[in-house]
Amino acid sequence: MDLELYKNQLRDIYLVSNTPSFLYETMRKSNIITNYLAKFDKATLFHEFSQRVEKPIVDVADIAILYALLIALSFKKDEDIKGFFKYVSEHIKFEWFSTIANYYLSDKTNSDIFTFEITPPSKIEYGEQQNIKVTQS
Amino acid sequence: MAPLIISQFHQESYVLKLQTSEQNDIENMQFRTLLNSELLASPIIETEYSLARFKGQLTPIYNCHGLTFASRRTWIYQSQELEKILRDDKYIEIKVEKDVLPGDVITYADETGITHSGIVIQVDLPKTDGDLVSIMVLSKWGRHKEVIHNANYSPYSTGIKKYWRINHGFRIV
Repeated sequence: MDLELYKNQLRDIYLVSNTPSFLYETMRKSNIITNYLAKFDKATLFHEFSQRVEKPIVDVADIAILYALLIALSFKKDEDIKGFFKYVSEHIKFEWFSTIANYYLSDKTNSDIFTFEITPPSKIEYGEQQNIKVTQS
Repeated sequence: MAPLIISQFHQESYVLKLQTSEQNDIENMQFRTLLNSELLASPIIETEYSLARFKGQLTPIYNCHGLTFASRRTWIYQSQELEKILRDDKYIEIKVEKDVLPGDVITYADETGITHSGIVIQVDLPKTDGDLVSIMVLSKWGRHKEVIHNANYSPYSTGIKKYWRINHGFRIV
């Protein structure tokens, strides 16, 4: 997965988003999500997200890419995805990650059952690097 | 307080005491931090919208709705909060573009709610029958800069536009 090609475009969507709903809808409609990221299966998207979220964020595009991966996962309707979004909703309080996860969770077309296993860090606070271990069951 | 520029992932945010004229609380969040890379970046958005005029420096302190409804102090980002402001502050919709005046408010909305807002700064009425009303707006594009742009020329312009004017009316005692 080479998101470097798209990082400027994703960064600009993030920069001009006034609301989480605009960010969510604009990214869901972008070619990067619907054409490029849609080609990857959920395991690859999870892996990329978990790898990136463990690294220190030094570029605003890194945040935009994390949002893009999260939103790309929102297209996957498998049951185990819901566990991941539930975890994000409850534990990642940075900006709009939790809000966007709640968009997925409140979508009634998604299943109520999940089997995804997540090993959370002991504590996440503002100002700390956020580490999330994600494993697929 | 000037934004703190940091090089690591970090968020510093505050909630202001903000109310409508009916004393209902308005949910908001003020961000004070930005990444160094944000200052160094040359966003393609400025090239893409080259006819817009980007004003000053970017700031994470407020968004467009903070500019329009909260004196450039904070982010308002929930559509229901904006609807509350429009209702409590007694904005009335100006339904005909030629009746819009500088100082009126513009909102853009899509299926998710209000996505953008700004303040009308100039209205040019058509000189001939075939021309359209030209409305210039001062707004802010997310974390980016304040922007002076035509009402139909922004990343949000595919949405439904509405114009509003505050009208508190009289309270006779």
